[in-house]
Amino acid sequence: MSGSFSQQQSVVVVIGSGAGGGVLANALAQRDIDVVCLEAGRRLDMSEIVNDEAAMFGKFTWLDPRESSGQTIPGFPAWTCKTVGGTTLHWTASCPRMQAHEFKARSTYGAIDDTTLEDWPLAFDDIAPYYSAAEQLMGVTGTHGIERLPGNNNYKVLEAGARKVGYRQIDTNNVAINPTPRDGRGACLQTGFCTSGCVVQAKWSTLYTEIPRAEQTGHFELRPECMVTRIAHDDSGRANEVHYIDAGGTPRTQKASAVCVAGNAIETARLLLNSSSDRFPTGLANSSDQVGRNYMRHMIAGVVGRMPGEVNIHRGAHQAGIIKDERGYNPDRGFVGGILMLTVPFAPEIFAKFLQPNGWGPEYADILAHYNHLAAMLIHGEDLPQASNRITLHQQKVDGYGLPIPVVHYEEHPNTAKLREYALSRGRSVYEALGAKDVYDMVNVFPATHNMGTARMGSDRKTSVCNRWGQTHDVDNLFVSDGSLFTSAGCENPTLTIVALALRQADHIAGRVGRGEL
Amino acid sequence: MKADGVASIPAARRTKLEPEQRREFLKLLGFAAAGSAAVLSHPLSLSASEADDWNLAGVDAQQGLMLASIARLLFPHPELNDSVYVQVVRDIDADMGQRPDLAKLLQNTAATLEQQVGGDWLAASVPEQVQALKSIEGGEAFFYLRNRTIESLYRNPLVWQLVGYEGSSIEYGGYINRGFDDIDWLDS
Repeated sequence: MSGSFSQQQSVVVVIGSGAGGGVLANALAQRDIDVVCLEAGRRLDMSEIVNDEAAMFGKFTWLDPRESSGQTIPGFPAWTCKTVGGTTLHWTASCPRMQAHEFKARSTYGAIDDTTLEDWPLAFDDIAPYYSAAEQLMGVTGTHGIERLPGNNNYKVLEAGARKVGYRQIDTNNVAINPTPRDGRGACLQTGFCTSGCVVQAKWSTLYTEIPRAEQTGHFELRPECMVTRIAHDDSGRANEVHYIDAGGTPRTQKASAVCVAGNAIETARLLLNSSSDRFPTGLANSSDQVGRNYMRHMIAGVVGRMPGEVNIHRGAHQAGIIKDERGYNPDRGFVGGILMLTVPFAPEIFAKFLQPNGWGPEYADILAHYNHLAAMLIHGEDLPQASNRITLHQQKVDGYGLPIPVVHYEEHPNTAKLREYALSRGRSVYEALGAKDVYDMVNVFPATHNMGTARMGSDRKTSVCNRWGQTHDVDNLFVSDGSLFTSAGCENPTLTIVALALRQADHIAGRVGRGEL
Repeated sequence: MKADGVASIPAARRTKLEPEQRREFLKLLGFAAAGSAAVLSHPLSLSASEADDWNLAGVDAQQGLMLASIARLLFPHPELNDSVYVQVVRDIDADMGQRPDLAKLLQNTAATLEQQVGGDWLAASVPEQVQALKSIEGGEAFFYLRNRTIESLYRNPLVWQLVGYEGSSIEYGGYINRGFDDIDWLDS
């Protein structure tokens, strides 16, 4: 049964219950370390998860105000989640590993103007065992003897077109979705609603895996609808209290032996910036001035083909289809960074809004009337860290908790623009090879879902916030445990790497607790 | 864990309708026959007296007809009955309760559009109406009307039926046995 801890008891406080926080908290609780997990969002009952995108959007999305700046979607720069389970409710479960060279981005790509590119302070070999553990934990297809999912119609189109243009590395991806019942969860029924929460729990989410398992240890207490406002420290500079507003609106303070922040890259940076003190006047653990900087989000673009026959794109698992031929380092293409092309479905409403962002009239309606003929892919490309892409605090505006809202600023680097043009032309060719009547690009229309880099790891404390364990350079018992840690972005969906880093961090923290250091 | 819940999902299968059956089915759902005189000659076949019965809070009959006609001009699907576009007007009316500035914005827009077509919007030809709408593209009102029409229209199960989106699938056991991989034209 769930633990219950007094606010006076010094425990490990984990902020956030998603891929980073949920995994870390459970890994610690399994080792009898007492953990309180503060989650800003509500705990959804499984009966509240339905096959309805618009309804689910309202139930789990982070809708507190954020200011957009630069090339971000006005009013909604990023789609993150405010719910127990965090973005593991909304994610597609796509789990490619980052490639070895991507951990050495600076050494591989060389110096590039207007970037803050660096190598990670850990190598692929350091994280490899944790990738393996993460895959086993989440049940990733194509690993550890877990069969791959069968391909749906959208995948079959992607695969056939890809083969015609000469690609060879095409499969139904590594996804944390059960092809057969496993680990107490059901098998994928190809419902087509991965990103609206998986009704049958075939898709891994901490909501129904790590969180209940942690509760069974008796060493874990989840406090949902608790918004952390500030992390405080003692005279020696160690984090010792977490201030939050509980579900009833009452301010509370939890004593902490260690604090792990996993609120997704925007909220994590915002919380550190909001936790300034005399000792840390520009934000907690921010002596480097790097908190909030180096914000990365991947180049994300859609390519949509109007195919000669029916596709019925809405049927089946969303990202169980991938072309990997373009993911490597190949400067002959005129840019650095890799590209993945993955299947993706959209509902009619999303195509109507974004196929042509200002589209209307008979021809446009005719495309939409042929919804069942549309095939689509989502392209992910690496984007490079830039000091000026950053999360800052708004000088006047506050949210419902009275906290300054985050300003999310992002401008595309010229390398990203070149990568995007190349990727779009390759993506188009896949559908054109199959006789598509028309092909459409969906560019700069999606809010960021892969948010990274805002409290990055590094060997040099002047240019990074955290060390190779995700421990902040400035505060011994303060950790960052989410995508904020990424030194560079790679081109892969970040969740698997977030989970691997959380498992690795759990080993480190448990070791230090065992030695009496925390 | 809910793994045992999976077995209780009804194994019902919705079979694919033949084109003839589909047309009949659409008619039952309230779709007008494609290409009927009413939809081709004028975007709306409704009258002001019908609009009087909509019982809207912030939109009068004349304005309601105009908004319905705009919704049809923005996303014209000849097979759709006017009632589907009237639903857009109902949603706009509901928005007005939430957004105090909206009524004025739409009134000003209506005045601009009527001026563009020389007075009576509903008496204007479709090309005149289209031209007038083009003149407000890029403005706040147009953005609102396009977005609202999309969210109303393309969340409507009647429209899903028309375009071939099947909506919630869990009650039918997903698509694992209902065509998730039934594509048949790739090898030809």
